[in-house]
Amino acid sequence: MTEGTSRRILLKTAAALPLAFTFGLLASPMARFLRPTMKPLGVLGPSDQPSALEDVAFKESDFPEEWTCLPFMFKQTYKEYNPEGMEVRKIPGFVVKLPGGDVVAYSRICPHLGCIFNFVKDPQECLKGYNYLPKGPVFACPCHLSVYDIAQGGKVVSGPAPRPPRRFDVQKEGDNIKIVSLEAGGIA
Amino acid sequence: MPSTSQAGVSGAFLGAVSRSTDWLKTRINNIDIFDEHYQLEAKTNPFYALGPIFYLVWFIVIATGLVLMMWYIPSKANAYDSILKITHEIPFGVLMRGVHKYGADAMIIAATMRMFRMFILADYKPGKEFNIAIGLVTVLLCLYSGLTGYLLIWNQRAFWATKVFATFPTYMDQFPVMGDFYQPLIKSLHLGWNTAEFLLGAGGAITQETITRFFSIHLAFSLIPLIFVELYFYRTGFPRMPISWLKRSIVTLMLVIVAIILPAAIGGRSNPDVTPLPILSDWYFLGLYQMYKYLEPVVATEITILIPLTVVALPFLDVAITGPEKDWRKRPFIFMVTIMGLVNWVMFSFLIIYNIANIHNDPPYWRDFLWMMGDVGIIWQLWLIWMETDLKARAKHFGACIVMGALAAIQFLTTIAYYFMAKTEMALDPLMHQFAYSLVRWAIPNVDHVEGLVRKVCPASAYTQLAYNMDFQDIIKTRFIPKGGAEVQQGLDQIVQSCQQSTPLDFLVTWIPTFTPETHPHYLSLTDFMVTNRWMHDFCLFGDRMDPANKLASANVVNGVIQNYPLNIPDLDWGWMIGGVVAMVLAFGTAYWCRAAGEQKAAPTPAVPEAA
Repeated sequence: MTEGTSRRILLKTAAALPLAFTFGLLASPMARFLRPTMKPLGVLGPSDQPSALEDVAFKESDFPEEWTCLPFMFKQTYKEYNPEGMEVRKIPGFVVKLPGGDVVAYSRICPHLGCIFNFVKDPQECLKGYNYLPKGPVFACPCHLSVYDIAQGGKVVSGPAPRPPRRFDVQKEGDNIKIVSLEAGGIA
Repeated sequence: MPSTSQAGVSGAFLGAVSRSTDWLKTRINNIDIFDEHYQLEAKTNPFYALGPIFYLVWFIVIATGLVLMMWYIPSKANAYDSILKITHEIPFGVLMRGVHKYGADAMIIAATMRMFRMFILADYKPGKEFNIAIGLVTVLLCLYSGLTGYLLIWNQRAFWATKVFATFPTYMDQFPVMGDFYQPLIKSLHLGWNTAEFLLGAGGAITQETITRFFSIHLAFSLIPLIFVELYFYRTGFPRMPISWLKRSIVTLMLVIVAIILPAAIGGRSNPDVTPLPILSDWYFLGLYQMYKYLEPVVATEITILIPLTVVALPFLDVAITGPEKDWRKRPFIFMVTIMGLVNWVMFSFLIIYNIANIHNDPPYWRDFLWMMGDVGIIWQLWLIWMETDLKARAKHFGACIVMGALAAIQFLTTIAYYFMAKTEMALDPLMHQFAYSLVRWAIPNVDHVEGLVRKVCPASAYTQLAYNMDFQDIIKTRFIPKGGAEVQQGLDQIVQSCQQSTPLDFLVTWIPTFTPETHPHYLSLTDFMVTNRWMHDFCLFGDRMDPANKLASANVVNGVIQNYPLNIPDLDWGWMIGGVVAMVLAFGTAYWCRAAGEQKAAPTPAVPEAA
């Protein structure tokens, strides 16, 4: 009788193994979650960092006065499991001329939870809509009311955001202003 | 013949196994998905008909959903237009959509009311604690079906709510211990980032992949439970919908009438480049949405995960505290916690709808409310125990007091963490790092000099700009040397030199691989580990921010953004901070008192005088 039981267990196991394998295959896309995207163990290859596709160009004459703010779209390629093996994403950005004459560019993706923030020039408008009275023009996000002071390098001056928005590298060559790359970081 | 001690051990083991399997079997047999065990009560008390009503509405929603699917096109370009077509061109299309949408809302309302009924009437007693977990799964499946469903309309509200929903898991990457917040070994997992990419597609933008995945998930969240529910009814033989035709007709008619009077809204076509102000999620997420305005995102994400876990744990806590008692007046702790949850949810939603919240001034009030409701519940429960005059009955409350004391102790630990977090504005992780560092600080040679260098190369004002997934030396190289020049370079060189000196505790860390295997495969010494992982920097920052000497004479505090550490803790916060301590002391004191009562009872009083 014991022998019969153990034979049955053996047969059951033999039948269960291919089933387990099949369900394992179904669950295998979830293995993506276990794949380290950064070192040190690096067993599954390098991380999937995005890369810039093309520059965005402006002219000095596009900025006639200080606090001129222009929106733009910056293209980046991301790795994706599709036939092309990648996907082009447009990252919205703002390029702003500061009072000192410097031109800075920020990603408009709010570092808090990924909404697209606005350029708010009038402090009173910011007080009305975003629960905060700033000293000058700011970026402000409608979703959870984070406010970023442009004059202080995008510092969070109100709201729950954990850090300033990501910056673009801006290169100046004579009259041309080129936006060449985006600071690496998380999704938002 | 086996020795007796062996038989004793294996007997005890088998006994424990059979007790735990019995415990599990009872609870599994008592599982109640749609209030099947309350068919008699349902005839007189409508709250016990919520389960069958939920089942009925679920089928109405599935049926209308199948009809809508005939015209709906799940693609970025056509989704919104196909909704317009369903609304304006298809006969009864607007009615179908209305019934589908309001049916989904009705399911969420029914499932939520059912949860509150279960808590207030203690329907999880006796031996039915799993029903709370099942009820919660029902609520969550409804919420996620709602979320995946309203993206399909492809309007502005749906678009931004989805963006927010799918981005918040990225903050899991900063959780203490499980996250990758410069943990030496597991910093690489990026669980939250991967979740977001899995939900949305690469780069975390909402695209065609998102709408395809959400459409599939939207169907799966009904179809897969449907299979299991049918199997369950088939095996248990319960009737599927034990309510009268009158009730069924009333519910169905309610949905149809609401759908006719208030046709389901469409909203504006989604625009990935503009987030409108104000922007709200659908009504059932508004409470959470308001919470995300109030709190640090990492804390808000932690709470989002803690809420369902707490709900699952509460019935077990209640059983531990009050045993089989079902009267709510004798279960004040669980009653107060239930009311707290309800009031928080309703009030947060109310605040966001009327846009009257002030994100800078409100949080202390909410912290007070959240914790003190629990404290009042504990003290009220203790008061019931103090009223107990029978020694034997009093002794039985020992366990309950210990459980409540442990809960208040958790609040006390939170108080300690909150005290330092509020003073220094540092997250829990850096605080723990600096604490760990302070324990081994004695082993580092020349420690004051190295800390001075760390302060010099990385100014405290730059704290929030530091990327958490980079080595300290690399951050200095890429960010601060270009700005600071030769002086910073010199400081860094000296730090790197100190890192090469051996320390007595090197064996703790030198085996750990680093994140720059090309140049720096293993940590050279304890100093190297502490510098590279920024634990030393966290210690310096913590010390500087806690030092009252650094507090400026003129406070430069602008609406919650602070340049002046250590910060003051809002006066209101002391309410809950002290409340937790009071509750803890009272609970443990009462535990001691109950124990004494037990001993007094057990002490053999000489019943028979010696003379006899």
